[in-house]
Amino acid sequence: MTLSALILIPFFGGLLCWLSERLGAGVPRWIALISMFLVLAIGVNLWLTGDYTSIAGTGGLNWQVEEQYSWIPILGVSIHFGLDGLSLVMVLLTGLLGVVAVGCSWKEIKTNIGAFHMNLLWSLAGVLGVFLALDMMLFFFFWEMMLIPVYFLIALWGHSAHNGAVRVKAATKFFIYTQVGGLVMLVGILALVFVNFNATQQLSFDYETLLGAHKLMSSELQFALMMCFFIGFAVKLPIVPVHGWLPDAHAEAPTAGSVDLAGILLKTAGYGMLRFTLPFFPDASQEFANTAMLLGVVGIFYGAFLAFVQTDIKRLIAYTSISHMGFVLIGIYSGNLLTLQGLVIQMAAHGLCAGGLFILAGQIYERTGTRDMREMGGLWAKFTYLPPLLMFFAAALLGIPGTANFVGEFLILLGAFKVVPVITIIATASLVLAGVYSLILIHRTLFGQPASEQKYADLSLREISIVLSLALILLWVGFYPQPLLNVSVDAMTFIQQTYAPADVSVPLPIGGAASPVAP
Amino acid sequence: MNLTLESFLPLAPVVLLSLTAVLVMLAVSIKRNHCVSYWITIAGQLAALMSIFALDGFAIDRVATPVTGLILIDGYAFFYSALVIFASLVCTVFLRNFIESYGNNKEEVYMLLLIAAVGGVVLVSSSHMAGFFIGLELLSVPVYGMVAYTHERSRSLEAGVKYLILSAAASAFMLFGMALVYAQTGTMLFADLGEKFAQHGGYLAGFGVAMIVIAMCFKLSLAPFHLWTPDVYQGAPAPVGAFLATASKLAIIAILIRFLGQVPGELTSVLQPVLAVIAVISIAVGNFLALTQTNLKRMLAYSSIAHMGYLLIALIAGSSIDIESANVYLLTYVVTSLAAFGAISALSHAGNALDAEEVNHYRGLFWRHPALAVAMTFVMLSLAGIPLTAGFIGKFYIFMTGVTTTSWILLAALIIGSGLGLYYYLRVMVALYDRTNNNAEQDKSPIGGVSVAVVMFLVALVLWLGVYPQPMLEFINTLH
Repeated sequence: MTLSALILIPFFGGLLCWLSERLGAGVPRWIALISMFLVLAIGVNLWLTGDYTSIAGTGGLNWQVEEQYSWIPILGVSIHFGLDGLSLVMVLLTGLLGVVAVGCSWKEIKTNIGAFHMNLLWSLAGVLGVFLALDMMLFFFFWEMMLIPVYFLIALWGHSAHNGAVRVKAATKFFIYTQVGGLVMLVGILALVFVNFNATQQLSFDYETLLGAHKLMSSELQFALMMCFFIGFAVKLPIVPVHGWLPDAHAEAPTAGSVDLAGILLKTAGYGMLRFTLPFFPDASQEFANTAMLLGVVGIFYGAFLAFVQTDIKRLIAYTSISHMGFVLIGIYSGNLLTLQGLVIQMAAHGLCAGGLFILAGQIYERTGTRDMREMGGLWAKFTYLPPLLMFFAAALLGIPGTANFVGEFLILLGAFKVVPVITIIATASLVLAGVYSLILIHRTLFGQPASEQKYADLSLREISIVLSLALILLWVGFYPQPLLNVSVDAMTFIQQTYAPADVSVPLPIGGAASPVAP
Repeated sequence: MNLTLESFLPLAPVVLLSLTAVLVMLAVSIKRNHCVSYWITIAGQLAALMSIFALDGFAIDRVATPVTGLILIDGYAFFYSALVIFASLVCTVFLRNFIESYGNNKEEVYMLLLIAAVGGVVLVSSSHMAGFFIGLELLSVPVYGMVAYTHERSRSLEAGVKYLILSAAASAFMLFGMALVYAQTGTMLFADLGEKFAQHGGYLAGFGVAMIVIAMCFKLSLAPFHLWTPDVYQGAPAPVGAFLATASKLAIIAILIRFLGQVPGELTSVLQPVLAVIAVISIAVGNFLALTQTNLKRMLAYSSIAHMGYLLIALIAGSSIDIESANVYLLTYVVTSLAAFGAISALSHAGNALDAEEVNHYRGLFWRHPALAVAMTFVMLSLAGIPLTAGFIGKFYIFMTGVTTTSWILLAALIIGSGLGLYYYLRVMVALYDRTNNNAEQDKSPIGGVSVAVVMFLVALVLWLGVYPQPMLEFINTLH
């Protein structure tokens, strides 16, 4: 029941939010907050009670909790949830950012509060479903289901500076991109299922059943199906030729929507590649790995360059996401345990860091009424708490040692160097660009001559505690990543073993105090 | 042939519907009363629907029963008959609220509707060219009258005439095609076609079959035979549009499936690439032209062209018709379309010069009629084929057909079409929640309570089929 509860709590919580709006504006907010805290608490409880290193090194699947119910037996579809270390990290991230997203909309959203929180919670329910589903049909359901609430979040509660048409356009763009990508993936899923069906006469959408299906098909077909999955996830990650929706969606989304998008929704794509693309099509993925990593490098530089020229603070952060997702892509396809483990940290760190930056951008906008960095300037003098926090997150964005981002990037680059040294060297060079855009961000907003003499209210306790909690977690993971690495090690070993069984990379010491990169 | 009561029993739905039509006529001639005509129509259709279940139409061990040589009653015939009657029943409910404010005679429209329903049932059960043609004309001719029923509106009259002419042209095509097939094979029975063709061979039958299929494409408004669709959908009163989009189309598809299933493979294999092209063109034309529509009815018309294109994939991909996919798709499409037109009907009145058909009319509907707006949201999502709605299950089956038959080009068309489709469905959907343009005058227009209730019921069905499709799929799986 635990895993169903993880999805049902936000679902029914959202419904309650909507219904309870007439009782007062505060009621939906509290319901939403309590729901997300419950999700987070369940996640933490699963972390504390589960044993995610029990089968260390054997490379098997380690489902700590598993649930299965009958759904559409005629198609071989069941409601099948499972949680391993990778899912757990994602669930924790979702719970945490869910709480944060509700918290940061406390003052920002003033219209239709109930419906807003319903959409927010339903999108989170969809995301949680994606992270837990072990049936491809169920996975696809959640994958598509989470789009609709996000669409509404952007289209109805989005940025108010333009008229509604711009928001709707951005939301529609987002929806069409991801939906088309999703349909391509659906073709891949169905083809995979039918290959399996033709060979075994068993119609099943179940993850573990389909894991062996790649042995039943020709290498061309495997490559084609892998591409179907890859395209579906690439749109959401996003990877450069298909990234067009991201900056617009972020620019128009409300703060909570941006946190949701950058922090969690993008991670569903990384998760999907790790959970499905690599284990389902190991040979084709290896064949494709170089191209994918090249795309990753292109994305890293493209995102960084475009971030540099943005004047809108939210667009800047959006483009840095594209850049960071390039690292994720390299991490995924290098396929040794170091990069995969670094990947988990990187995804979590990016979620927290981008979330924090979007929240700060939202807070600046609430006060100054602009997101244009040319009109900011000199904010350092006007706030006590906001500037150092912004500086911290900007530093985290460029991956300064001591933050989780550093650990993630470092592990990815270290691991990838053994596999693809040239690509890694090029990718490492981009860290300079990361420094540039981070500094530009700080410089343009905080320093220089103030654009106006106006005084602004400083951050409230609510706002400080939200941002500070994110910062503390970034620091904690930055200084002591071992607990997080321990959680994901079994899941990542499995992926690594299926993807590249020949490659015996340096095993990570588990549970010990030793550095994760010890020789 | 021994004509006993027993042998006519499977015809009960047809008989009951015809009787009801006569009853409505008699009732009108005794005393005009809208309410009485309406309830007779409802009761008659309910009885016809019941009779299908009373006859055990869906029993697994049911054997196909031929009646009079023209008609073959089997599980499919019952399934499609039930769908046709259900659709026309729902249209009746929509009609009542709509026609209430009509200045002229209101009662005859029910008669026309009933006759058309009879035609639909005959059509889906026919196994003989004669039954085919009789059913088709019985279905089409009353619809001319229904489309032009509100003839005070010039658009309605125009639409009626347009539909009449083009439909008649299509019928002529079909008759000629039948004549050619008969000239070659000497039989009108679908079941004998293959055997007779094998004996005689020749080209004429091929032409004949092609002409019949083209006529069907006309009726299904598949591109490039789609030109009448937007005008007729726009001009027809909204509830009639509902009938046209659902009962009429599904009956024609049912007979097309039946017919193509019996035609020898040598004849259809030539048509297959042609139909594939038609499917792709329909998907492209329907979706592209729907993009810029500001009129909801026209948009639905173009979207129906695209949907028929999707459906065609189930008929032509691979070497045989994927009947199961077609059935699932049709069922989900019919329920969704009924709800879409029902929502328009609920806000439209025959007394007004126009139906509530502009997208602008729906702007901010959520703040006036929240229930209807939420219902329309799900309808749009279902038309777009988003999970958790019936539309997704339908589309899923088409995808399955495409993948199992490895028809990659058709799948690509399906994906691109769906992407384009999202654009206009989402546009309508988000307009429902627009706060900026909330005209106060539109608030005054009354709303059909019963129609809204039926729309809600249909939307509940859409969600149920989308979330828990197992019973529906199981049921369709057992049809034979």
